[in-house]
Amino acid sequence: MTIMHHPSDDVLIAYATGASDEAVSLVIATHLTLCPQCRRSVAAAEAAGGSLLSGLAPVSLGHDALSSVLTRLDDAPAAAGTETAFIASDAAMTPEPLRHYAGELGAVKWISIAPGISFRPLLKRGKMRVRLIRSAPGAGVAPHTHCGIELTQVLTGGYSDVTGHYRRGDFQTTDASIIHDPTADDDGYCINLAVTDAPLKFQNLGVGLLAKLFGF
Amino acid sequence: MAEFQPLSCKAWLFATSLLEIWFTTYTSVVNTLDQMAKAMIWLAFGHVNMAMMAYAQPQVEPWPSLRSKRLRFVGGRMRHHLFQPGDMTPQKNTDRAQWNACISAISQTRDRAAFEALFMHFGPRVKAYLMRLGANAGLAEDLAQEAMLTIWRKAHLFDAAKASAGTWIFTIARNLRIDSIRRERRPEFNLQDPALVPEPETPPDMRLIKNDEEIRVRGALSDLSPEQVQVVEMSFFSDKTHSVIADELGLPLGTVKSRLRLAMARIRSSLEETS
Repeated sequence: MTIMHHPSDDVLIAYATGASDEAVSLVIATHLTLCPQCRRSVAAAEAAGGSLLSGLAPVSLGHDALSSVLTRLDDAPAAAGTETAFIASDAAMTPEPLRHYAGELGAVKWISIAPGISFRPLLKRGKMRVRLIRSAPGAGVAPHTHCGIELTQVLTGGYSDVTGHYRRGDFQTTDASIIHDPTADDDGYCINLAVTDAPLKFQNLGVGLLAKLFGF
Repeated sequence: MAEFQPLSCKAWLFATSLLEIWFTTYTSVVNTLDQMAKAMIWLAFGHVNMAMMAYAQPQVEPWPSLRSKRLRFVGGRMRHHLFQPGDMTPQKNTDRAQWNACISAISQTRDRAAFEALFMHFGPRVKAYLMRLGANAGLAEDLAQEAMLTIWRKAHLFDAAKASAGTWIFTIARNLRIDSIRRERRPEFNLQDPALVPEPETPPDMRLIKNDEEIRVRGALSDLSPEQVQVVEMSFFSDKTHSVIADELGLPLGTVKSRLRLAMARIRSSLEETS
């Protein structure tokens, strides 16, 4: 699996600095699980953070800070290791950051919204919405654009739109400048994780009305 | 009543004291030379203020590996209490190895002396980081202490092959801040996750590169233009989105993003160059 489409640098940097919110972080952490190249980029940005932190002029701590922390050490047991119980069946498909919000991809309860298209809302923070979107083989989402940005992470299968072809691991960034009608590949279900900061704007008024009803 | 000490024990203490006096003098001389050399380099490039900073850096800093390992070996636990924290001086070029050694000493032997040394060095810097991001002094103090406790608790999760001590501590401070100030979860990937796609192949010299990660990154940062440094620093220390940063600087968003992209490319390549 070679990933052809990555998040932009500024999104990765915002993740590394801690500026990105939970919704975007969820999509980025999911991408990082699938993309060693972007993990290296984030690690480089974190190294810059470490260097900047080490270079800050120290602000001295309170007089009793050390002694007070030392007395608390005994009450601070070693944190548990990173071992988490992974469910063998589907675990290889569902990245852990996502599993926390959606469970296993195979067991998601889908809400059908149009022929072949279903979704599952995962997270709502302010204007940000994170959803799983599933398209049946060959099914397409009606042509639309975005009032804000949309970040899409492909989890299974693949889809195409005017900008290219996206498969598992790929990441698409769209905004108001792009009108697209992503259509799933013919060879299987396509499941995407998408975050938006504004509603979709469908070209067709009827579809738009329907989408509003479903909270898109 | 005076405590009874056999003669051999007294002689032993005397000998080790002599050794320490020699060590302290030696390291302070080496450190002074080191600072002077750095100041000269800054001066040569015309950075007078950096030269002054390099020279004015406090000489007195803890020497973790020495205090935690050698002194225990020489005189046992009672000897190290004769020394105030911060009586030894690390040489800058071996900082990294020393802080890494501190963290592994904590994870392996729950070494309090190593923890003290880390605390003295990184505690005030973590506090500074949190204050730069807008926390008031009280909150920053509490969270800095919390961060140090997290280091104690998670020392066994530190992997020197993945990041330097400073980088690891930065991520701890960052996450603690998101957790306690923003009260949000921070989704993170897990290296143990069966769904994780591994590196195609790890270059054998990657570990070597990690060994001087800090030097490489510091070098890359100092090579950046002032405009690039400005947006990188604002990204790390302001908790503002890039579009807010662009507004504040009166720049188009695209300019901020491209400066960041170029800066990151420089840092990334500094970490990937094998020559």
